[in-house]
Formats: sequence, structure tokens, C-alpha cells
Amino acid sequence: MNREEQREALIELLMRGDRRECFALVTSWEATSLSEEELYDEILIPALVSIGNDWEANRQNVVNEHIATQIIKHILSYKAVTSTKRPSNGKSALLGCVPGEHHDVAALMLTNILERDGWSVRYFGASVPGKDLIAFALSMRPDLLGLTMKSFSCLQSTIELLDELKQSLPSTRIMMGGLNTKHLREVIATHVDFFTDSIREGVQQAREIVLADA
Amino acid sequence: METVAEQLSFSAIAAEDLDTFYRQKEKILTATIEKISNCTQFDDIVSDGERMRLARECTSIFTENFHATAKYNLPQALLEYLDWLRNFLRHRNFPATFIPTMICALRHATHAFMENANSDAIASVLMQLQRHERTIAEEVTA
Repeated sequence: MNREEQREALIELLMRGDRRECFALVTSWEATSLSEEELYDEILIPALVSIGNDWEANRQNVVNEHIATQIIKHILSYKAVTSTKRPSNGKSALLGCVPGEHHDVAALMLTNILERDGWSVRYFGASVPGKDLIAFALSMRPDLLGLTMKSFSCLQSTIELLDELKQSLPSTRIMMGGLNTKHLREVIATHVDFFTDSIREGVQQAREIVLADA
Repeated sequence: METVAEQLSFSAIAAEDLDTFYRQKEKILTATIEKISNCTQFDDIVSDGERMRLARECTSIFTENFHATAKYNLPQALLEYLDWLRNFLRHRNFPATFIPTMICALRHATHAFMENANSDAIASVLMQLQRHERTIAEEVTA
């Protein structure tokens, strides 16, 4: 199977809501040289985007979309417990969504890979209140704070949050993912250290933090 | 589209007026939804629980996005959102006139609930958006 065939096969099973068959398919690919990064960037995320597009175009019920998302989260849990963890690199990361954001799958994927690479990661998932996030970050003092933001109705609260975090935690690097509108990026750019458009890119930027501090 | 994006600017809106708009948004939103509910051209939406829920949610998100893009002067981002919303609602059998009518209702409600603040600059931008969406709706129905 080439990548496109792999994606199509998975999308079909996700749309059937067949969790066991999805697992069987993904585990069958483990025998090949498919890396975790390739699985996420080239199969799972495009599959979710495709299903999301079908929901937007009213070709899929929102329940189908949620079932597919949950199955992918289960696959990610499976990958988290079965991948071989490298020795600790002494770095820590706090990953999840900005307040008001609920698209938490990409942050979970990055959690899996950074943990595998020896990071100590705390993943909080979807939207939490900004003041609680700040309090947690202050007590944890992570080397990396990775946030997902897709919708821009929470722009003001996110900028206020980032300003406070930057001031309180000057040595924490802030990564922002999910933001594909260039106009919003221009506004956010001065409040974060870098943007990421893929899991691979996020992992690469995290590795650069490790190298820079070595 | 580019022409509208170039012309559309939030810079005439005073920060304190935008703050008042946001503070009053629940009242503005309620009045906007009520106005939509009373439009006879949307009778089939009003009588359909799920589509009326969507109408409320889209109006609420548009209001939030209008505020966010106005605060940071991002007209193109708001127009991109409107492109997405138009497509989303079209696939759910909303009439092409829904968005311009919703913006019109929001404009009237803004005038009504801005208390002592100046609603003119906000209403002027909403009028521009309404005309932009009306033109697109007319092209769709032509």
C-alpha cells in the first residue's frame, strides 16, 4: 500500500467506526518501516482533516467525526505505551490547547513523540481556564510550552495568556501549532518563539531546544 | 474579494467602543437572534430545531470573531471566516440571504445596545460586510 492507499483504507474503517479493525490496520503497518512521525503526519492527521472536511460539507454526521477522533486517540494511547522510550534528556514540556480550543489531537501526538525522545511531558488536552494554566506552568516551569490554537474567537485571551507566561517564564520556549491563518500568525508572532505546521516540525524544534541547551 | 479586504478597516473603531460592544454582546446577540427568528424568509429554519441551533451558534461565533478581528485589525481574517461560514451554511440548506440578514440584524442591535458609547464606526464596518455578503448572495441566486 502507498500512503494514499493507507489513508483511504484507514478513513474507510474510521467511518465504519470499527476500532478493532483500525487497530489491526495500524499494527500491520508496524511491520513495515513506517515511523511514528510518518504515521501521524502522513496518515492520521490527513485522515482527520478529510473526515472534518466531510463534516463541514455535511457529508458526514458529527457523531461519525467524533467516533473517528476517539479511535485515533485510542491508537495514540496504544502507541504511547508500546513505543520504546529513550533515556531522559532532562527536558520538560507542557502541551495542550489554548483556553477555548478543543482540537487536542495534534498536541497528543507531539506528547507521544517527545516522551519517546526522553522528554518529561505533561499533556492537559483541550481548553482549561487561563489562570489555572498559568498557575500550573509556574509550578512546573517547563522548558517547552506547546499550545494548539485553531479558532480565533479566543485570540484576545490567548494573547493575554502568552504575555503573562512570557513575562513569568522567560526561559520557557513557547510553540504554537494549528494556526493556519497567516493574518493571525502576524498578531501572535511576537508572543511565541515559533510556530509549527506539522508533528515533524514540532519535534525538530523541540530537538533544537535540547541541542541549544546541551 | 481583494477589493473588499483592502477597503475594510477597523481602524475607525475606538477601543472603548469595541469594549462596550463586547460587554453588551449577550444583549446584542439576543436581539439579533430574535430579529432572525421573526424573519418570515427564515420560517423553515426557525421551525427546524437543529438548524435554528446552528443559526444561533453561527451568529454567536461571528460576533466573537468580529470582536477579535476588530481588536487586532484583521479584516482579511474575518473575510476568510465568512468564506468558510458561507460554505458551511450552504451545505446545510441555509438560504444565501442568511449571512447578510444576520449581519444587518447585528448592526441594528449594536445601535440599540451600545448605551453611551458610539456605535457608528462599528455599524459602518458591519454595513460594509453586509453589502459584501449581499452582493455574493445575489450572485448565488442570480
